[in-house]
Amino acid sequence: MAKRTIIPFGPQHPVLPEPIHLDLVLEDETVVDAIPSIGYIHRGLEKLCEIKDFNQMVYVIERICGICSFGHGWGASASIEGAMGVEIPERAEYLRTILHELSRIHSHLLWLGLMADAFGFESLFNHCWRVRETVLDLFEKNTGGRVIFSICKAGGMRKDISNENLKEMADTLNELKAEIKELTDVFINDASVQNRMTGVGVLTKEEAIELCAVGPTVRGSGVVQDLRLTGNHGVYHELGFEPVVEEAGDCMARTKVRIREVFQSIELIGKAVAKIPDGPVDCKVPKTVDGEFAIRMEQPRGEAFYYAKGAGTKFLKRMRVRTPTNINVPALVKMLGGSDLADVPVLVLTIDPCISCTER
Amino acid sequence: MILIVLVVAALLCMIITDRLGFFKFGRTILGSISKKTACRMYPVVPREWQERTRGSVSIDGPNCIGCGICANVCPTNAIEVDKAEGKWTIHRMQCVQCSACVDNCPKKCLTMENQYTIPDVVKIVDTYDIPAKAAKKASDGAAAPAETDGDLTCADTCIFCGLCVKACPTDAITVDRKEKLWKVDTEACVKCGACIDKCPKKSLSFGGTAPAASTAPAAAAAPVKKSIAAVDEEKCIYCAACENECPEDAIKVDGTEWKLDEEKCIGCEACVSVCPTEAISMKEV
Repeated sequence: MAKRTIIPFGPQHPVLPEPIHLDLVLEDETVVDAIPSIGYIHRGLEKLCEIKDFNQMVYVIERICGICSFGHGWGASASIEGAMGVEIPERAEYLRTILHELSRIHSHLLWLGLMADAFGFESLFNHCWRVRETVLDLFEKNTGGRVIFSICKAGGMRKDISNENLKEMADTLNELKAEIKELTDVFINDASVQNRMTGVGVLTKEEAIELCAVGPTVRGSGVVQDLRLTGNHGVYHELGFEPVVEEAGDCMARTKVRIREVFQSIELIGKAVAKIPDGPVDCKVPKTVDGEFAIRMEQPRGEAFYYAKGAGTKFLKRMRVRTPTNINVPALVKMLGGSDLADVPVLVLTIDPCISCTER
Repeated sequence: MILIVLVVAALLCMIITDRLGFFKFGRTILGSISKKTACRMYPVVPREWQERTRGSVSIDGPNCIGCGICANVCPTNAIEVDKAEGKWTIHRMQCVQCSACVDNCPKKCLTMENQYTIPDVVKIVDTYDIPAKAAKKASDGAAAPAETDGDLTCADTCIFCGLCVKACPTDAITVDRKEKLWKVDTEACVKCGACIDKCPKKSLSFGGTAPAASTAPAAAAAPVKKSIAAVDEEKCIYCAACENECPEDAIKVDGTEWKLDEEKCIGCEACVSVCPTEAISMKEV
C-alpha cells in the first residue's frame, strides 16, 4: 500500500469560489477519501425569524444566496402564503415562473464560466460572463436589482412587469441564443475540454438515487427527477415542461444538462410570455400568520425545501430552508473517491456548490 | 508583407486545429478582435440607470410626519425615527435598498433614487430634519390650520365599511359593523392620513377634541338613500379585484359572471376605486 497523505483543500483556494473545506486523503496522486467540513459562513437565519416579521423575513431569506435569490424569495413567499391559506393571482404566478427561469439562465451561464475557469480556460470564462451580463441587465430593467431582486412578497409581486417589457425580454433572449450556442459548442466539441470532463467523476444511476442527489447532478446520471414536473409551484404544467436528462453520469453529462436547460429556459420564458394573462399581481394577505406549510421547488441547483410555521402573530414560529448543495455533498464525496488530485476543483464545481445556501 | 504571411499562417493553424478538434474557440476569439470592447469605458462612458434601479433612499422633508412606519418595516433596522427630536436618520451601510420603506410610507415622502451613494471609507449616517408642525402651519397660511392638530375623529356619515381599518398601517382603528362602533387607539395612531384618503364617505378628519375612544354617533341616523354597486359588463374583465376588496363579501366573480348580493352591499364604493377598467359605478336604490 502506498503511503497516505492528507491535503487540506479550501476554504481559501484559487480555483474554489466557495468556502468549503475538504480533507483529501491521497495515495500518490489519487484521492481515496474526502472529508468535507463546512461552518465558515453560518449566519443563523432560522433564528432571525424570532425578531423579524414575515414581511421582513422574505427580504432576509432572499439574501441567502446571490445566484438563486429569486428562487429563495419565491420559496419564502410561497410557504408563508401557504401557511396563511392565500392564493395569489395567476399573473403573479406567471411572473414568478418567468423570473425564476431567467435566474436559471443567469445561474447556469455563471456556472459554465466558473467551470471553464476551473479547468483553466480563462477566455471562455470571460465570454460566458459577458453573455450573462445581458441577462443581468434584463433583471435590472424589470425588477430594479441585478442580483437581489426584492420583487417577491407574501401575497404576490411588488411590481408588475408590463407586457411590452416581457416581450422585449423574450426577444432579447432569443437573440442571445446564437451567442450562447457559440460558447456552449466549445464545451461540447472542444477536445481539450473533453479531456478534462468526459469520464471524470462518474456517478451511476444507482448511486445517484441512493445518495439522494438532486438537480442537474441527478439528471446527469439518467434519473428523471425535476420538481418543475412534479411540484406544485409555478405554471410549468401549463407550459408543457419536459425535464432534461443525460445518461453518462460524468462531468460532461452534468455540463450538457445545464447547457440544454439554458435553452429550455429561454423557450419556457417565450411560452410563458405568450400565455401570460392580464390582471392584478398581488392580493391582500392577513396581518398575522397561522398554520404551517411546506413547499419543494426546483432551483437552478436542484430541489430546495421551504417550511413556514406561524403561531397567530406576525412573527413566524419556525422557518426552515433546505438547499440543494446540502443534499449534493454526499454525491460529491462519492465522486471524489478514486479521482485524480488535479480533477478535484472540476469535481467540486460540477455539483454547482453554494456553501452560502448550505449554511444559511 | 510579413503581416499578411502571419495572418494567413494563423488562419491555417486555426483551421487545422479546428478540424482536429482543438481550439474550437478560435473563431470566437478572432471575431472578437474586430469587435468593440464588451466593457463600458467607465467613467468616460457613464452608466445608464434603468428606471427601476434601486440605488439609495432619499427623503423629501416637507411631507414627513415622523410616523416611524419606515423604521418598523425596515428588515435591517437601518432607519431610525425620533419624533420628539424631529430627526430622521438612515444608516447608509445597513440599508440594503429593498425599498420596503418607500412602499410603506403613507405620505409618499420617501423615494428610491437610481444613483447609488458615493463610496466612502467610513460608515455614513445621514440625518434629516422632520419639519416642525408650527413651521408647516406658517407656510401653509390659514388654508388648513387645524387639519393635523387633533385626534382622528369620525363624523356621523360613517357607514362602518371598515376600509379605514384595512388602510391603517398601524392597526389603530377598530370597526364593529354590528354594534355600529368606530374606535381609534390614539396611542397607536400616527396621523398619517391613509384612512382619510381611503374613506368613501369622507367622514374622517383630524377634527380635534375627540375623546380617546370615540364612538361615532351615526348609529341611529342611517343614510336614507342607499346606493349599491353596478357593473358595466362590457368593460368588466372579471379579474375579481373588486371581490378581494369588498369589505362585506357582497361581490362574487365567477368566470364570466359578476354577482352582487344587494342585501350585503353597504355602498362604500371600495370596488369602484380598485376596478382596473372603471367598469363599476354606483346606482341609487
